[in-house]
Amino acid sequence: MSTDVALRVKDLRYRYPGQHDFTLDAVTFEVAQGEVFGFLGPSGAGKTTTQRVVLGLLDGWEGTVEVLGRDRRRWGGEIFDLIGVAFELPVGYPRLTGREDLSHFANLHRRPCRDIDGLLDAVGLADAADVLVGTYSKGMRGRLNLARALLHGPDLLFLDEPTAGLDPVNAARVRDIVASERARGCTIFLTTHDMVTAGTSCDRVAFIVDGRIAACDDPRSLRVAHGERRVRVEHRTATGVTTSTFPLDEASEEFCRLLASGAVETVHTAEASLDEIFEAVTGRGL
Amino acid sequence: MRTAPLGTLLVTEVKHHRRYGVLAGLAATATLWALVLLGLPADWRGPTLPWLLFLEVTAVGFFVMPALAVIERGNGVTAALRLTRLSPGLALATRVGLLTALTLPVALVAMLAAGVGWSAPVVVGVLLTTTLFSLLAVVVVGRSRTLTPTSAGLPPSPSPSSRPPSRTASGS
Repeated sequence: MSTDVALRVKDLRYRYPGQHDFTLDAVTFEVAQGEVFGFLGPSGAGKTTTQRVVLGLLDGWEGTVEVLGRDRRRWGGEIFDLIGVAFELPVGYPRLTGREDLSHFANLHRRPCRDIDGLLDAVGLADAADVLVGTYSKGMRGRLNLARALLHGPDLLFLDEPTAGLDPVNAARVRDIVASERARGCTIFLTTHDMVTAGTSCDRVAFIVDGRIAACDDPRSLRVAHGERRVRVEHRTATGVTTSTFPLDEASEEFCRLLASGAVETVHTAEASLDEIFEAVTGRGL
Repeated sequence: MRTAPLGTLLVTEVKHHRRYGVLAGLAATATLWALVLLGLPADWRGPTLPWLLFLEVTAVGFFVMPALAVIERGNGVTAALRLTRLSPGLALATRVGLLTALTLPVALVAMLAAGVGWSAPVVVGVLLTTTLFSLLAVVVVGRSRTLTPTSAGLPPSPSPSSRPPSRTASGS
């Protein structure tokens, strides 16, 4: 991964007009080029507001925001050829087909765009390419959002809840797309409640609560730091299946004996999930 | 093949006009106005024409324009368009220009039916009024995602069902 910074946010403060409290209060983080950065937090924590500031959809903020090496305030419309955005809420012209919708947006970029059929196939909408967007389900519109964001091969991709409303197969498809975009060198800013996606796709995650960053690290380090160094074993006994836990720091004779006995059914390490870590760090649930 | 933004906007607008029934509606009103005018005595047609044309441009300006804007905004398209290099001015000008141009054939049909022939002042009046009403409608609708806030601001209907109950009718 390159050490260049794709997105730098420092001491970002923002208060909505008429509000007393800051929605964002000294938010600071950096996203390296080619990194998948997860932005996690409960509703109202400031995730979308941060994204809207970075996208240039909100004015009146304080602090420093640099996007692709340039101060956000110094970017003009050309930035939109370099970034792609997939909104959480369904977006699309209801009376255009999926193909027409993507074609419309492709022609509004001044950068060579990808093959629309290939994109529709990648997001699992090939069969619905010539169906009106207004008849799409929420999940299909979400995948159309993703295809629209990927149209012009952006350098920086903002994905807002990309797996919301998707079945496991399509959620896995989205994670594959995130991985392939990362392999292409694209930087991805991922806002999500989906801990599976955050845990498997993100190089680093930041927890935001009440407009402040509570923690920022890679998921593995967070799991190790907040989990128990134990292994949980389910094994057969004369009375049924029993669960036993053993410390990882020392070789347990009993654990070795169990493994050798052939009675073991499952073995799990007891590292914490991202949900549990979030709760431990912030005192709040997701 | 990549198309210029103006061409793309025009193609999409025409598709919307066709699929939302705007073109069919304009064709229907052109036919209706022609039948109405032809059904009138010859000396009434000229004085009636401006009223029908005013009705036409008002409908386009205050119904079609806001409806298209609200549909677009309510489906998140406006926000998505803000994240492209499309100029909002170009988008607005294209929509207003096309709607205005579409009122012209209706006006011409009505003028022929009224027997007034080609009248440059009438044509210019139709085009300017449609443009003005369309722009005014954009301001009135503002940033609404639905027409509810706009319609809620309208004066109450005088129909009996919307009148507040009368104290004398309470039967107490």
